[in-house]
Amino acid sequence: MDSFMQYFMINPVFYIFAGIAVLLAIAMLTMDNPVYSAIFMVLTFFCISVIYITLEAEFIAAIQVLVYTGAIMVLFLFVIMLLNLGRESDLVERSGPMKYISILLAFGILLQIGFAAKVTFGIGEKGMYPIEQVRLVGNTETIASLLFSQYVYPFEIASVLLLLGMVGAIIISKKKQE
Amino acid sequence: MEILLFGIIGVVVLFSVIALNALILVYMERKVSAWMQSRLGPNRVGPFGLFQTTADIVKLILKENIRNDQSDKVIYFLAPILAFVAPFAAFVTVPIANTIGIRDLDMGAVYIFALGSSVIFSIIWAGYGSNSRYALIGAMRSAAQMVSYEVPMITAVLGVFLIAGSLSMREIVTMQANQTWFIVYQPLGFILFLIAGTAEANRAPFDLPEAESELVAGFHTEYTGLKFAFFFLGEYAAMLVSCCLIVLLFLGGWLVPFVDNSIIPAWIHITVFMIKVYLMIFLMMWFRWTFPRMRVDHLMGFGWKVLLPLAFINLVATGAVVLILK
Repeated sequence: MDSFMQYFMINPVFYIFAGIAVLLAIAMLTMDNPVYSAIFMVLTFFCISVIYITLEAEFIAAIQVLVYTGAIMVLFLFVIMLLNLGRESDLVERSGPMKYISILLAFGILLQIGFAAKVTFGIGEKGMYPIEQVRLVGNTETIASLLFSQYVYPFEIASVLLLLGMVGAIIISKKKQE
Repeated sequence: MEILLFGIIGVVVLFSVIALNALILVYMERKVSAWMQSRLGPNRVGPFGLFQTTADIVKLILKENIRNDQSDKVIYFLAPILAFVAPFAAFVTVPIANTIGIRDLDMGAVYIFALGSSVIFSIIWAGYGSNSRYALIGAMRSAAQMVSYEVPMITAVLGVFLIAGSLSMREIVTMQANQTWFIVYQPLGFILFLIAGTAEANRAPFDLPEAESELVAGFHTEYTGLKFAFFFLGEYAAMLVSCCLIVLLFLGGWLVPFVDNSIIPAWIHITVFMIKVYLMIFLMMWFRWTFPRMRVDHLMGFGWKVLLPLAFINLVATGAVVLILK
């Protein structure tokens, strides 16, 4: 507990927003109404972007909000359009044995994360791009130069995948019309 | 501690500026619309009807807060708050003169776009939370419109970032001081950004989400009193943000044309910036009172089939020219 307080004093904003983010994520999972789940998801992402800001990664923070707002917007519309929200009772669906198995599995995963955190918790060694170096050239430039040099293949593959999804959606929607 | 104090002062100043701006804009809109339609506009309360807006706000505050019985309380309550907070927060990276601004972020433009896109949530929440058909249809239209006009808007503005080589608002204006205003290099980008920006702010002729003749008042049909006032304030703040963006990105921000700007005192820069912003706002009002509202399918078609290809052409051409000149 002592060491936790030490860490907390170093960076209180992180721990406050990390705590809120975890609570919001739990709320997102436990909501019966999918619209509420979507709202809590947005709020969780906002909290995570605040954490990025405390790390001085403002570019990622802004991109996080920019990208996920669009994505969750679509989710929202799906929820409103595709699910019939008229009757609340339809939304509640719980199966008996699966529930206990999932609790067991979740507990196992939590344990694993706990062990992993115990090993790596604390301030580790500095990576290749410490904040002092990023400050010199700026956030955006650091990310841009990495994306278009070292990580150009993953970047291009990701964009081709997105294009693929878009083309696929158009083809499927056009087929139904004929 | 100093940071906290600075933050609080910034918030108070920003809030007063936005509230005052909304007061001015409501009056301005009424006078402009009256002028366009050969009417007199407000002229009873105070000199030239200047206090009409104040009287209206007092009326709004005193009104009973009616809530639809079937509405979703939490979402219904959150929507107007977000509608105001998001454009409010966007002002953090808007500099009004060379050294005057709350904070100049490395990626200021992306930050503003991110907050601008989160305004959609408030509209969707309002539509869903009100549990009313008109509100929901208005919100759905609005979501479709904002998601599709965001794409040409950001693509159109990428040309400016390519030329400036930066996303920071201050640096973009500094680049314009060294060269010329970016409207000269990016005339197509400017027009596209102006159109898409008007659509993003849900202003006529793109005000389908609140088309009175079809949807009563769209997403804010079920809102009264102070909550409605928040939507109103948010909308005018969003309009101010988009006009500030246009001025900063294309019209040289606070720069005075044809003069060496390094010797000009800051207060002239601020005045010039304000004049430019209000001229852009006047232009938007002019749009509203001269163009008829677009039909909803035409609106989507226009966004995807006209604006977006043009924005791509603009981007590719700009990129090619920048590459050659390097």
